[in-house]
Parts: sequence; C-alpha cells; structure tokens
Amino acid sequence: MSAENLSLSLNVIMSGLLVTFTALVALVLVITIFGKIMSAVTGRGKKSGGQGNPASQKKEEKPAAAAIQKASVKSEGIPGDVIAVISAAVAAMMGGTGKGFAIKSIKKAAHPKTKEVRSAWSMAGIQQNTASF
Amino acid sequence: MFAEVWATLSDIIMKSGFVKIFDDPRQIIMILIACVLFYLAIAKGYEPLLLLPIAFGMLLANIPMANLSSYAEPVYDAAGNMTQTGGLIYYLYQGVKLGIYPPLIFLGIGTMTDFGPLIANPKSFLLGAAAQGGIFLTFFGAMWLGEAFPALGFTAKEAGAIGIIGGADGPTAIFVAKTLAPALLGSIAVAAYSYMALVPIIQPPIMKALTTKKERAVVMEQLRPVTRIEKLCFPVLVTLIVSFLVPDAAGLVGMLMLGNLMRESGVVQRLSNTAQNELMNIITIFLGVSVGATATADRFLSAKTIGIIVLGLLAFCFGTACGVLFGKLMYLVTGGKVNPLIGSAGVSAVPMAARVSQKVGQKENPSNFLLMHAMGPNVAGVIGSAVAAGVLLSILA
Repeated sequence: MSAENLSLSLNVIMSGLLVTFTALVALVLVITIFGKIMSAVTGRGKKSGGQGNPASQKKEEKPAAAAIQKASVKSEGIPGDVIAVISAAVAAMMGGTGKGFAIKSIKKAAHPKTKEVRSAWSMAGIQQNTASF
Repeated sequence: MFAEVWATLSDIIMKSGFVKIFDDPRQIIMILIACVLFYLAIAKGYEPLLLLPIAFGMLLANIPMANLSSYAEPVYDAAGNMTQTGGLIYYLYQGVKLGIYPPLIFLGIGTMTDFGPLIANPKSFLLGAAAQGGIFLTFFGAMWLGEAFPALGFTAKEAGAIGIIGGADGPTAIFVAKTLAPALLGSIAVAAYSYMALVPIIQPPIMKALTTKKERAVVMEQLRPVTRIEKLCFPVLVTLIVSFLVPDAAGLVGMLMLGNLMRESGVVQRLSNTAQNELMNIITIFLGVSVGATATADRFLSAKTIGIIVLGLLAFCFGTACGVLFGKLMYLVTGGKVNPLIGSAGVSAVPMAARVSQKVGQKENPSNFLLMHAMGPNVAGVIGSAVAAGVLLSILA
C-alpha cells in the first residue's frame, strides 16, 4: 500500500474509532450518572412509602400467617401468598371444587441439568416469551 | 394497407424490449439476479421487506426502453425546456439522493425500539462502539484491495461506503453510500441487506471460535427496572451528546431519538403509530424500489460488485469479532459477570443479532436468557453505526 493511502487509512481508523468510542463513553457516563440519581430519588420515595402505615401492614400479615399454620403444608420458606397462588392454580387444574386432593408439600425444583433453581411457572413464562426467538 | 400495418407492427417489434435487450445482453443477467433475490426474499425469507422491493427495482431498471432506472433523468433542450420527463423511479430516487428516506426509516425504528435494556446497563454502549471496528477494518481492507487489484480501484470514498456495510444497518449504509459512492449504492445495499439476513449463519462460528464454553455459559444478573423519566430523558441526552460531537450523524440519530421520544412520551400515540406503520411502510417501498433501480447492468456487473460482496462479508465478520473480543475484555474486567456472546449483538442488525446471542448462549446453558442483555449492545450498535457514519462523512465527503 502506498504511503499516502496507508496514512489516510490509519487516520480514518484511529480517528473513527476514537470519536465513536468518545461519543459512546460520554453516553455511558451521562446515562450512568443519570440512572444513579434516579435510583437515589426513587429509592428514597419507596422507603418513605413503605414506612407509611406499619399498623395496616401488620393487620394484613396476620390472616395469611394463620392460614399457613392451619394448612400445615411443608413449604421450605416459600411465602404464604405464593403458596396461596399455587394452591389456587392446583385447585383450578383439578376442577375447581377443592375436594378430593390435598397439597402436602411445596418445594422449589432445580433444573435437572444446571441445578439452578427457577420455578416451573417462571420457566414456562420465559420459554413462552422467548420461544419466537 | 397491409404493407402499412406490417410496417407499424415491425416498428413496434423493433422498439420492443425483446429485440432491444440484445443491444445489452447483460440486462438478461441482471433480470436473472433479480429472480434469485426474489427466491431469497420469498422462499428463504431473507429480509423480505426490503429485498423484495430491491429485487423488483432491479428488474424494472433493466427492462430495455422502460426508462425506469434511478438514473433516468429528465432531458432538457438547449433553451432549458424539458423535452422528456424523468422516469418514475428517478423521482422516487430523489428521496435517497437527497438523504431523506434513511432518516425517516430511523424515525420509524425509534418508535419501535425499547432502549430500556441499554439504559439499565449503559456499559452496553461500549460493545456497540467496539463492534463498529468492523467498519474501519473493512475500510482499510477496501483501500488495500483497491491498490492490490487495479481492476477494483476503490477510491477512499468508495472504501468508506463499503466499510459502512460492517455497521449492519441498511439505512445507515444507504445514507453513507449515496454521498460517498452513489455509483455503488445498488451493490452496497444488496450486500448489506443480504448479509443482515445471513447474520444467524455468519455470526455463530465466529462467536464460538472466540469464546470458551465457560464464558458462553455465563448467566448475567437481571437488569434493573428503568423509570419513565429515564426513558424520556434518554433520547434528548443522546441527541445532544452525539450531535454536538459528530454533527454529520445528527440527521440519523436525531430522527431515531425523535421517534423514540414519541414512543416513550405516550402523548403522541397517533404520530408514533403512523411513524412505525404507514410512514415506515411507504418509505420502505420507495427506498427499496429506488435503491434496487440503481443496479443497472453497466454499474452492477463489474469487478467492483464482486469486491463489495467479499468485503461486505469480511465487514460483518470483523464487526462480530470486535464485539465478542470486547465482550471478553468486559468478562475479564468484571470478574466473569458479562457473557462475551452479547458483544456480537453490537453490530446492529436489530433484533437478529440479539437473537443469535440468545440462541448461542442457550445452547451452552438451556436456562440462560441473554436476549434482553443482548438488546442493550444491539440498540447501542444502531447509535454507534450512525456515529461511525457521521465520522466517515466528515472525514471523506
């Protein structure tokens, strides 16, 4: 390659990559800083919202805890509302009467290959959303 | 009486395309190439929305006497009076020549793009920048090839227009080629769109060759939710930063971000719907047909087209490799938190390249979902290729 063409090529490559990276690094910085500011603002909002009414929270928790005790399902730390949803789904699949079956235990299943814990519902949802890809 | 009718019929036959095509038999080859592109678009589904109108434009431009190429200009006499109007496609082509269609396509793309994954993980911008390495390496390759093979004789402007194929973004390639190398526009557009359709075949071997099994199996952390204010400010910030730094990219990036602001604001739903449906479809038809009609036999059937086809493929390969290698660098720097496979999505080709990252990643780990992580570099690649286009235009135009 002639010296003139080599010089032009190197000029285009170096300045092209430099300007492209500079523009996008500037965007990284601005978007990161902006994101941090927004997280701080929304985080504060959530905190103050969460502390708003502790009395009503306690009231809401009580019946759920009682229901779990009554049902005596082995749940391995799975929250009560999740147990309620799973029970409702099972009841719906069994015909909706709620009779003739009992849920004795609910436990998280690991993926047979990866041993990663992801619920069947979550897997089904992700599979459905990404199947077209 | 009979003789007169015979003379008239003979005249019609002699002026018909069936006879005139033998004046330049290369037009038969061009019609056959158009038929191959029809096959690829219809039977194989390769980017049919653009390849089909491009192929039909190519067909029309090579019909003898039809005056339907993009170069069928109006004819004027010495006094400046128009003696013959330009062909239909000549007028449609003005939207390409004046740089109107590509930014309008970008407007539509903006209304269809969710920049959420990019805002949630801004580091993705770096992968979008790295993958543009393919553009500049191909520019170097075209300059070298032009000198090594004098039959090709690529000039610096032509090399720049060929290099932009590596951006894997059709409107950007057309935007640059119409300014730097209008004579090569047809070949560059056909190469760009054909290779974009072939991304699922081109990219995986390169991605696998450059990464280890362990790297491909990396499961990335879930992206944080993005607030509406962030999504609203993003298009304004990107427009300001990119346009101030590279004013030549303002047309493309500005329209992309206008479309995105229309989408995210939610207050101009009608405009957003029009931009992503009716307007986008109309412009796609005009752009495809008029770009296809630039591929006349005398311009398309040349050694340069073969050079463009080869260099276009290299551009995609270089872009993919640069993205994956930068992904590996991020993998090392972050202590294994970034899956290098998402780097290949930085070449644009939205959303095809992100789908490829997802598929290759899922082969190693079936429960790994890289799609949203790959969408970040993917849409960053659109911005990156527009910036790279602006740089090429500012240096070479």
